[in-house]
Amino acid sequence: MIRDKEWIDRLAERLAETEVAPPADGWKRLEGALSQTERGVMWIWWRRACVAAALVALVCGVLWYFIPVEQVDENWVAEEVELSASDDAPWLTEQVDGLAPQEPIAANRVTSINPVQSVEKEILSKVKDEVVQLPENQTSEAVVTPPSSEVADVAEEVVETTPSKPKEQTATPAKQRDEMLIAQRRVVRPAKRGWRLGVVGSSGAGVGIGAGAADSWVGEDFMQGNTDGAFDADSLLRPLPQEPKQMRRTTWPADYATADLEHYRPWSVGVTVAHELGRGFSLETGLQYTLLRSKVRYRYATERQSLHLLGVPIRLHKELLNAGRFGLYAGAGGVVELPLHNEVGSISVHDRRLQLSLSVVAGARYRLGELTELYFEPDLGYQLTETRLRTIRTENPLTLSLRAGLRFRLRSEK
Amino acid sequence: MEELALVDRLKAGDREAQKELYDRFAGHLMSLCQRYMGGREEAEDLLHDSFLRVFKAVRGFEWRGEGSLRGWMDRVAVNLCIEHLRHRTAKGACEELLVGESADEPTIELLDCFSSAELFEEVCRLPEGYRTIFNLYYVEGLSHREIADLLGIKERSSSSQLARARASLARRLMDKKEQER
Repeated sequence: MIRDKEWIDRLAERLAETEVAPPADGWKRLEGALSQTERGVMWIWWRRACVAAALVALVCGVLWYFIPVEQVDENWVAEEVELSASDDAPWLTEQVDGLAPQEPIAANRVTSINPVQSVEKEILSKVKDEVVQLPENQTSEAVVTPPSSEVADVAEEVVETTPSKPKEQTATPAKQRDEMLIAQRRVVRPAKRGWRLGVVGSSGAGVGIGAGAADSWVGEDFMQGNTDGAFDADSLLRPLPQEPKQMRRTTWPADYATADLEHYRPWSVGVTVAHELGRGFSLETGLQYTLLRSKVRYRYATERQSLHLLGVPIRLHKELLNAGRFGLYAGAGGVVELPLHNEVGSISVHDRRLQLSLSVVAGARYRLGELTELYFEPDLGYQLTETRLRTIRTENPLTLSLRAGLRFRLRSEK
Repeated sequence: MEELALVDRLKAGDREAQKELYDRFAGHLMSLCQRYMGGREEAEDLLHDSFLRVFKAVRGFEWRGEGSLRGWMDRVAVNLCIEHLRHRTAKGACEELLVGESADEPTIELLDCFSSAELFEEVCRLPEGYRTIFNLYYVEGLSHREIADLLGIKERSSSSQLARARASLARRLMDKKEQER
C-alpha cells in the first residue's frame, strides 16, 4: 500500500507539473469571443425587455377586451309576463274570427322565457299608436306585431332601469283588464358552462414533513456512453486547499453535505384557463413559471443557485359554496414542470428531467363583477421528483403555497 | 500582478487582467484538457471554453490564498471536460486489456525512466474511459464513490476500470522501455 501511494503521488506530481503550449492564436480567438459575448448580453437584455413589454401589452389587451365598460345583465329572467289587452301592449294581438281586427283582446297569460327589457314610458306611448291592421281573411293566430323601426330602436336600447311603473289605466272593465305585472327577477346566475381566463401568482414554503433529500445522481454506465450529460456544478467550489499539492486530495463532488444551503421562498406566476364542466366542477390548466433560488455557502465561496421551471398545472375543482359574490371550492391535481435553465453562480447545469408534483387545494373566491373574480387558494403539494440541484423542494417535498389571482369569465355559450 | 489584485480586476472585467490570467495558466490548463481529451484539437477547444467560463464565473469566486485561483480554474476545466466527454459515446474503452493479461503495477523506478512529457503522452494515449477515471482518481484525488456519482456509473465499475487503466499504462511503459533498449 505504501508503494502504491508513492507511485500515485509521484505520477500525479509529474503530470500536474507538465505544461503544454497553448495555440498561438489562442488569446486572439478568446478576445474575439469575449467581445461577441458582451454584445450578445446587451442584445439579450433588449430581447427580454421586448418580450416583457409584449406580454404586458397582451395581458392589457385581454383585460380591455373581456372587461366590459357597461355591464349588461343578460341573465335576468322574466318569470311571468302577464300582458293586458290594454293600450300598453298593443303589439300582441290575437286575431280571432269574428272580431274586428282593431279590437284588442285580452291576451292570454303568457309565460315568456325570453329576456324582456324594461321599456320606458315614452316607448309605451309611442307603441300605443302602432296598431297593426290584419287582413280580414287572416285566420286566427297570435300575432306578434313588431313595433315600428323607430320604436324598435328605442326598445332595443340596452338600459339598466327599474321596471317602469305601469301606465295609469284609463277606465276599462276590470274583468277585461288584467294588471300588467312584469315580475322581473334579476338573476345573476353564472353560466352553466363556460370558460375562464386567469392570472395567478403564488409563493410557498416547505412544510418540513417527509424524508430528506435522497441521492438524486442517477445515470447510466458512462463506459457505454449513455449518459444524461449532467454537469456536476456543485463540485466547482469545493473546499480549496492552501497548497497546490493538496488539491489532489480534495473531495469531489463538493456535495451539499459540505455546504450550507439557504433557500429563498419559491415564487410562481402564470396564466390559467378553466372550463366549467357543470354541476360545480371545473377543469383548470395553464402555464406557470416557477423560480427556485438558494444560496450555497461553501468553505471558500458562496454561490447563488437558481432554477427556472416552466410548468403545466392541471386541476379539477369542485364548488362547495356559492353565496352570491362569495364562494368556496376544493380541488386536486398536479403540475408537470420542465427545468428551463439551472445555474450555480454563472455556471449552467444541464437538467431537463420533468418534475412532477401533486397537490390538493381549497380556495375562496370573491366576485368583483359580472366577469371578474378574485381568488385565494392555499395549496398543499408534494414533489414526486427531484432536480439535480438541491432546492427547497428537495429539502421539503411537502410544500404549502398560497396562490392568489384574478379570473375573468369569458363570454359564455348558454 | 499579485493574485488577489488580479482576481479583483478580473471581477471588474478588465481585459488586461484577462490576458494576464491567460498567459499565466493557459499552458497548465492546456495540459489538463489534453490529459482528459487525449487529442490536441479537442483540448484547444476545451481550453477556449474553459477560459470563457472562468471569465464568466469569476464574479462568484472568493479568493482564499495563493493557489486557490488555480485550483478553482482546474475544477472549472475538469468539469467542462467531463461534461464534454459525457456527451460523447465512449465505446471500446475496455478493449485494450485482453482477458487474462497480467495486471502489473507500474513501479516508481519505471516512472523515473521517463520524462514528465513522456508520461503525459502515454496517459493521453489511454482509451477515453480509462483515461478519465485515471485522471479523476490519481490526479484529482477523487474516491471511487465520488467518481461513480460524477460519471453516473457504479462504484465497482470505477474501480475495475481504474485497475485496467493502471495495467494498460504499465504495459505501455514497459513496452516502451523494452523498445528503447
